[in-house]
Amino acid sequence: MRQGRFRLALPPVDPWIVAGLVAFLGLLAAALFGATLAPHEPIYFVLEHGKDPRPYDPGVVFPFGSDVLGRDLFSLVLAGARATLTVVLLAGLARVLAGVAMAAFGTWWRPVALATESIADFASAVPATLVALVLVKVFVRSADTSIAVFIGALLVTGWAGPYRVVRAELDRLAHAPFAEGAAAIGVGRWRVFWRHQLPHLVPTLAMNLSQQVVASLVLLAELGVLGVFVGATRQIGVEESLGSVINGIVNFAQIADPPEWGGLLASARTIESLWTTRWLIFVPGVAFALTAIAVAMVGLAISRRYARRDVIGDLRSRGAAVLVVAVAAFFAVGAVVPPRHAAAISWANDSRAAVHAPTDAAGTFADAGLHPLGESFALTRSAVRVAQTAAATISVGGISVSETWPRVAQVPFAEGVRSFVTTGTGGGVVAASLVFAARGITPSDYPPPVTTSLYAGKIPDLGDTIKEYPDDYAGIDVRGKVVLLIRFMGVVSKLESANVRVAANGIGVEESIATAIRHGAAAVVFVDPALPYYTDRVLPYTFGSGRLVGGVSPYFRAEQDAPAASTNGVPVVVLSDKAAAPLASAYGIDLPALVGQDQADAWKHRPSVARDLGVTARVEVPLERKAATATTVLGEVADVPHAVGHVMVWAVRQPGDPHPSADALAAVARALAPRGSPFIFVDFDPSVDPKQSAQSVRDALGDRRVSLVVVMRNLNGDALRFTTPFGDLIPALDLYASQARARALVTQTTAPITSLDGIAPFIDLKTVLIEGTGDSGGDLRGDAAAVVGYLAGRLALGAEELPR
Amino acid sequence: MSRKALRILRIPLTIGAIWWVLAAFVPSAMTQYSPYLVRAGIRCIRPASVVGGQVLPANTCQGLADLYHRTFNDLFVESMFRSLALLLGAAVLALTVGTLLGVAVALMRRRAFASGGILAVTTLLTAVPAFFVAYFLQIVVIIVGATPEGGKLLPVFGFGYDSHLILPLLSISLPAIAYTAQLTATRMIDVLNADFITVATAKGLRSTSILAVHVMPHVRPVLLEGLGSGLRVSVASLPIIEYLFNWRGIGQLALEAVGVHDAAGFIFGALVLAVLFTTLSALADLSRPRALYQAG
Repeated sequence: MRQGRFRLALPPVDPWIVAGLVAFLGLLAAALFGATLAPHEPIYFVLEHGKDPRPYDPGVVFPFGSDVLGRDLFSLVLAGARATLTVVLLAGLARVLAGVAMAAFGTWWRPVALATESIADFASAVPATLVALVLVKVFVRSADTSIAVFIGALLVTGWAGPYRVVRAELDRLAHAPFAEGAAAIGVGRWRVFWRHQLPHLVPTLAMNLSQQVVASLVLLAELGVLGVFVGATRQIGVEESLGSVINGIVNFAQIADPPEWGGLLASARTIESLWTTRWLIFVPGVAFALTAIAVAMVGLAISRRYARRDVIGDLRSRGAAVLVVAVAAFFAVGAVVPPRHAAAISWANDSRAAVHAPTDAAGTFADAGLHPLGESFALTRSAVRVAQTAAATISVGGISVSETWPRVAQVPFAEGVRSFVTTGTGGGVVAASLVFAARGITPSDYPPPVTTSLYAGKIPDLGDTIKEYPDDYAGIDVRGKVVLLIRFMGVVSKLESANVRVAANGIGVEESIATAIRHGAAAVVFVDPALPYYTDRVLPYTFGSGRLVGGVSPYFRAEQDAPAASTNGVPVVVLSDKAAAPLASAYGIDLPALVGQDQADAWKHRPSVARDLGVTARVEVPLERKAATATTVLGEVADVPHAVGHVMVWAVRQPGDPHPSADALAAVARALAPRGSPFIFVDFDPSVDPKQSAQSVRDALGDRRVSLVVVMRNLNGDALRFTTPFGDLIPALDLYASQARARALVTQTTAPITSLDGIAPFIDLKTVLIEGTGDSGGDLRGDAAAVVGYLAGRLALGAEELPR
Repeated sequence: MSRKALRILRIPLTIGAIWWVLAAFVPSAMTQYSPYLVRAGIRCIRPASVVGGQVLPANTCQGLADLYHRTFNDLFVESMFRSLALLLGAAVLALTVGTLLGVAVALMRRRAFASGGILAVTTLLTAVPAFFVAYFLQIVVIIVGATPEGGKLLPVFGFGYDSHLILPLLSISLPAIAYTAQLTATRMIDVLNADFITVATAKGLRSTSILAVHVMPHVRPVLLEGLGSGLRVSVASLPIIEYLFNWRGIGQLALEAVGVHDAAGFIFGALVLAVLFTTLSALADLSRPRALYQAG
């Protein structure tokens, strides 16, 4: 008989299994390659697009629209797939495994059956959304703990479902003839479970797993709607990056990194968005729905496959091997696909490797091949300034108090005594009679307001609160004398509820001291209980950082704003209440009664406690005029046209710095000079009139365009911290640090523009501050150089998020 | 002790255990994170203040009573009634619409397209999370109701025992309707295929009397099981549904309590939801009918 043509005969295939396999591989691909396939990175913001407001409608800038900050929503969904799918798959798996374990435990060991049943009752009865929300809030400490905490919260609130299903199945299987037969011939309990019961459980477990993954997905979405999501949470504002701020357009958002899908829903949760920006819900919503369908298909496929087939036998089949190879291939490809702009990592490494110390900036710039902006690299300024030469001291009778010199006021809680030298005060030695002026309150200086404000009745007015206080200056003559003055912190005027007090704030420290000087004081000893809580370091945020600190010292700020011009004047020394305690107790001053906020009406119709103490006090704040020279060194990479947007790296020189930022600056200069990057390097000397010195640099720039200023200072500590009011830079900088393998904290929020006061050399240019944080004193020069090197690499490779 | 009594006894025991665990852990757990407001735009207007020696930032609420300017009892009693109104409405809808759908599927069991269609829709409704349904309904109402004059079909958020009730009630009752319809249909098809119905039909009994006398008594327990199972899902989704519709029921208050560190409010809200959940679970368990011909 004649043979027909050869035909490839494939075995009949269940279309559901094919669909499940495709869905599984699709999910795997989304998780592994989502971020790579996304058209844009999550760090890319389109801040302005003509007159179109953000979030952009679909088709205006991006096909699927943008989020409130102007990021491509489709790219965000792809980039967030890995985090989302990892959490829900692991949480679903953990729920089922926990359910199986508890069910097996309860089935095999009858005495605990009631206990497991009761615990399951308990777990299923607690409202999952509420408990998951609390658990996540309590246990998420950092972005690193986040995924584990979410999986834990989803597990705790969801294992009871699988437990009940598996428990019922195990009870049924335990009485099946084959199980009883196996037990009768002496087969062990574990072997019965593994060889005879588990294959029967596979369809149930597969369906249950898919249900639990979908349930986890839903709970994750609910948490997202409630503003709780996986990974780092950032408060990003982009007003400072905008050419013009349009009233009513959202310029601020809470965003998740990575852009997990719950986080995307979080930014779409306002009721207004139902009318105006529905795609914000729709795009991640579709991702959720597709994933739920895909997961359900995988569960159904497995369930159908093993309804009448032994899973153990199938694991040894050729098909299983092919599947394992396919999955391994996906992971292998995922591992070797480089991240975007991977070549920039070598720029980071080169910059890190080029850190050498000590640095002679001008020599390094010349050796590296940089060009000076003027005739030479050095820009010198000379000036005469008033500087304190030794510790301020107070001597009264046998009591003497001195400040720590040199000052260590960088660290909060360190300072108990300090001088206060500004244009309005002064220095020198004054020995005169000591007068106690109490809190220096003159009620007539603070007349109650005539007009009522929006907050009238809610925030008490100081004048209103102290109108019946005694006048502290009425009964004393402070002319030519040393005045001992206590800071007036305000009055607690009413109880809002059981434990909430509303207070009228007291008198500002500068104002208090100025009033004493206005009354004729020759010297002032000012007691401020808040002194130890201040720092002389400009910090973007202090409240809620773990330690209660008072922020930047008002004394430091005043000294910076109005530096002393003369070595004479009225010397002022500030003491903490602790430092002032010996002095107060020696002269019968009830310090605790005067320190802190007053209770309402506590001083009503009472006489002032101000009095002449009848003792001579000596106050010394030694000042001298010094001629000083500041030399700032600046250079640029050669042959870069002036019209190209330059990145200016600005290292602030600090005396005694163990790890000078100039070393990191020089390292970046060495690495970038041969590569022709549009960079300008400034080794800035702030020792003499920093504002004028910065202006000299500005003048030297000529018509060169600067698109970004990177300020580096204080590169000591455990990790770098980025501070910038330009929100669009924040996710980018964090990514750069991560790619450059630099130790850096996640930047949680956009800093207020005032946080760069005295730090940003040019307030009109986009600026970011890179500095060290932590008390370890570690060397962060290499990390800072690596971040800037990586930035330069991305800039050269055309990264779209960098300003040009 | 009978099985029924044991099942009922488990309700107070479970609630007691939940109360004990929440009371033991929630107050200290809430000190581990900073207060925040779950819903943007609501805030307590007050300057920074001092509580127990700690400075509190401005505009931070001290509990829900502070946030809503109501006493705790007033607030929670009213909110409880708001939530119960939703659940009661869902129960009524499930028992009427769900039962009718289930009966319709069973009676149309030989018309595959119609009965299959209803079953497919109800299956989909049990699978779709209530909060997606809520978003969907809100958007549909906004799109359908939109007119150039800015007209609207239904309110899409806010509280009111009027048209405000429609969307949250639909969102929360769809799973209950779907469960009740499916269970009713399955059970009723079983009964209609049973021999005694064939005998009754052969004897010439009218179909209405067959349904009333021979079918419905077998189906009735299933209604309660479907109601219990379905409303359980409704209770689980109550917090997020109330939040999305700004209904300010007990679930929404419990969510907001997490933000403002109101441990008592959280525990109360969670306990009310737990009581509802366990009671409905017990109702579903106890109503589960035995096999059709099993003795006793």
